[in-house]
Amino acid sequence: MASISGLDPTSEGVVAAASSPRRWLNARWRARLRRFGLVLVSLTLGLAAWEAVSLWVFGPFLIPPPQAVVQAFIPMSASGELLHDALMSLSRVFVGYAAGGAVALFLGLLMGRIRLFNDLADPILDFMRFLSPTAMIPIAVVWFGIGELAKYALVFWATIFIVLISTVAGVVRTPRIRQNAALCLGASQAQIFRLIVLPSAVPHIVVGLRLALASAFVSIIPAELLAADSGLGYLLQQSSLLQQTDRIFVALVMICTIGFCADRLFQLITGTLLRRYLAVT
Amino acid sequence: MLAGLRTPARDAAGPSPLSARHAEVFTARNLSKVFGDEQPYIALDGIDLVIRSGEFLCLLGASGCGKSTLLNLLAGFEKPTSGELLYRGREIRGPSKDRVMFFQDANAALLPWQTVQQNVEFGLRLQGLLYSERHERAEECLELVGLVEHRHKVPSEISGGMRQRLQIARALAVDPDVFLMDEPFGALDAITRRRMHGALLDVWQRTQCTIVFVTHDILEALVLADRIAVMSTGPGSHIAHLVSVELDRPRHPGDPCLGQHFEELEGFLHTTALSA
Repeated sequence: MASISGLDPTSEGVVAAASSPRRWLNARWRARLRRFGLVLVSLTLGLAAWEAVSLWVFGPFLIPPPQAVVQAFIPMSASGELLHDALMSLSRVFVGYAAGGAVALFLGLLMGRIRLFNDLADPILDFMRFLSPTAMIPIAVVWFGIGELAKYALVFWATIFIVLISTVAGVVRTPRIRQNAALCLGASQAQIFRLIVLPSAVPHIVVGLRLALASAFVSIIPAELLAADSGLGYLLQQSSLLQQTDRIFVALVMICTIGFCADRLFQLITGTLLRRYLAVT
Repeated sequence: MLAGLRTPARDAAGPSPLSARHAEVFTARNLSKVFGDEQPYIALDGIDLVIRSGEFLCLLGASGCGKSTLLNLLAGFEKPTSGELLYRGREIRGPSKDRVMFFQDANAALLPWQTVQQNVEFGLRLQGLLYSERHERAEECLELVGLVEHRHKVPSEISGGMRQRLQIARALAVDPDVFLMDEPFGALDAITRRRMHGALLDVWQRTQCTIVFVTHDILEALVLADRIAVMSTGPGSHIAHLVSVELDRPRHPGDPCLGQHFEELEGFLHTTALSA
């Protein structure tokens, strides 16, 4: 052993230098730490810019500084009104999104698989998808009143087209080769659908569902602005009428926070449950 | 294990192994295939070809000459426009597990969300085999292609050559009569390809299945085939020449006999390209 190490002293020296004691964390943790640090710096810079714009450019009424927003947040959360409004908005998003996603999945799988159905449905859907949820508010109020049903319907509208288009794309883009290979191995059409097409479409469907989730959160606010007696949109509207800009900012930050958390949760759940289908090149 | 890999179709074809061996697996008479209605493209025109049981036949031709089209017809993915195409005396109506197709793009052909073992079991699962049965059978097939120790990995974790061997194992599991191979090793490096040729010949000799192998590589055809069908350049492609390669295996690319055949085949390919 001694002779072997004696033969090649240079390579040992290189190894020793590479693992010097200064490197007290391995590469993976260093990368994580760096990312976390950058997020902190980004948020700090954002807060500083907010503060600066508030103090020196627009004044604390038009843009309340961060500490004023925190001061407004404390009583709002203590009284429970913020939580109530946030939960109202969340429940509307949840119901509308779940319904829209389910219907879109069903229709999308059908359209992707049955050519005639696709050719009949596609022109209509392609035409109607230019109606944003906001454009549908007036008629939704006439149809459903200002109750919960109208909000569900609007979130449904915001969800369905995105999920539908991505589901159809996922089904249609299932590699022909993979289906042919399964046919050779004796698969029936039903087996091909269940065991080949559905799993192959999962990545597309998940992307569509994620985009639609953001769309659902975006759409609930205008719906509540125009016709509601609760929810974050309603909070925005009331605060605006009373010129309480600090409360408006509390609601705005809340919308971002909820949306962000929902998206992360979505990624966590799909990443865990559908991992093997998503890790597909 | 060998007995287990025999096909019911072959057993049904004749009582004695000798007659079964010479039975016609594919019979094509004046076969043609036209794509499109308004601007028809004649891919194949007047294909006459008989492929016998246990034979290793290579379809050789330039890119776009219709080799893959012919293979798709044999598999049953496409229907002929006119002419007759029989599999063991019966018209081909659609894909069947007697004729398993192999693809160059293993990523698309395999199920990337399943492990190596599950991929092999896939065909058996379709038939409703019980877990224990299909597990045992899959293991046999994986052993035959040397993938047993990788059975818990997913396809993206194994090399390109291993993925092609996985395709072979998956096909073996359903006990096919015919392997239809569409440039299966075209995307592999030269060294791996050589090794795959050995593995394929080994499987072919053990199972005595029939292989139809599409390639544009003259040397590959020479190393593998009993007979080489040279296709003319499309449109309206047909079988221009049929060459028997009566050399012992394993064949080495440096063999002078192979070199003679090589020149002959290259000449054929050249003239068919010029006449087109």
